[in-house]
Amino acid sequence: MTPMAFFLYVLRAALLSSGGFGNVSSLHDSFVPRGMATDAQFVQALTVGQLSPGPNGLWVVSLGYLMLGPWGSVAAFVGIMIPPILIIGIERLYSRVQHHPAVEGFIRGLNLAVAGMFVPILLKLLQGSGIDELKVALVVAAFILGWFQRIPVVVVIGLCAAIGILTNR
Amino acid sequence: MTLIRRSAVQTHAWMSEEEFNRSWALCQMTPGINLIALTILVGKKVAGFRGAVICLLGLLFPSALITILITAGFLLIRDLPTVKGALKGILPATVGLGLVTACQMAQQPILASWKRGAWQTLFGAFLLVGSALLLWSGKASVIVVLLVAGAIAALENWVVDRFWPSQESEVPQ
Repeated sequence: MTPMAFFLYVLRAALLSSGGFGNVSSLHDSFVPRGMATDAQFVQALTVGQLSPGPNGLWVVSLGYLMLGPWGSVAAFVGIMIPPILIIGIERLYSRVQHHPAVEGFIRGLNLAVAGMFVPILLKLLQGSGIDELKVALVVAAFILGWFQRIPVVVVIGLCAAIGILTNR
Repeated sequence: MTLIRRSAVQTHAWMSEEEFNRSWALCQMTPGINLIALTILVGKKVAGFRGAVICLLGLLFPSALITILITAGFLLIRDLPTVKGALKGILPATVGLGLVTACQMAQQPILASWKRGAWQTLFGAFLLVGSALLLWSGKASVIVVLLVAGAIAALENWVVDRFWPSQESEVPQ
């Protein structure tokens, strides 16, 4: 795949999602079944996105690098920048229509679908690597730690990485 | 978000609290990364178009560079046995943290439905669970589910507002 094609996929996913990880499902759906990216690359990119500073949405930059090298990350960067830039152009118009019931409804429906579809994608990522008791326990532990937000994400990932190293025989 | 709010509203008084909240509400409804959109609006307010560009580069450029460096560094060490072991722990951690993100993403639209009454909440839950099951079954592509969910919700919201506007006043406080 060329960086240009990658850019177009990223742009489409960004236009139809909201929030940093809102585009995970549609990108996974575009790339993995066609063999253009692997589950492992998705996990790695999502992890880097959570570890690096700035908006989580930069995970796509990491995915671009893993799939296509430096040009992939440039393509991703431009792709995720464009939709929010549109806001400048349509701010006036947008603030006028945003309370129209159909617009409100469309965005709410979109956001619900984005949130809902993130779950099966995560489960597929987990399933792809083989599920065992330890992994399920780590998922639950990471969920609980992440939910209460007392412990930084870096520490949660670090702890799980350490457990992974210790139990890797 | 909290940091941006503090410096924009309190430290520098670039915009009022209300203005900031309105911008944030608008950004949550725009496609893509909300934080980028918010930065653009704050930057534009402070220094026009140039301000928006500078803010955007300030927010994204350093973090994108670090993201690339981490990824490149990871590629160098990817095949070490220790790293492979670590990845076995990192995968479930990322999945667990991702599930938290999914809940956070669902929270705002579900709350918005809740304010419109029980029927709307049920409808919202239906869209949430329905899209998840549809994708899991592998019978529909993500883009199709997104567009269909958006269209159904738009229609439903419009119909309810038009024919049963009293639902708005049943807001549970």
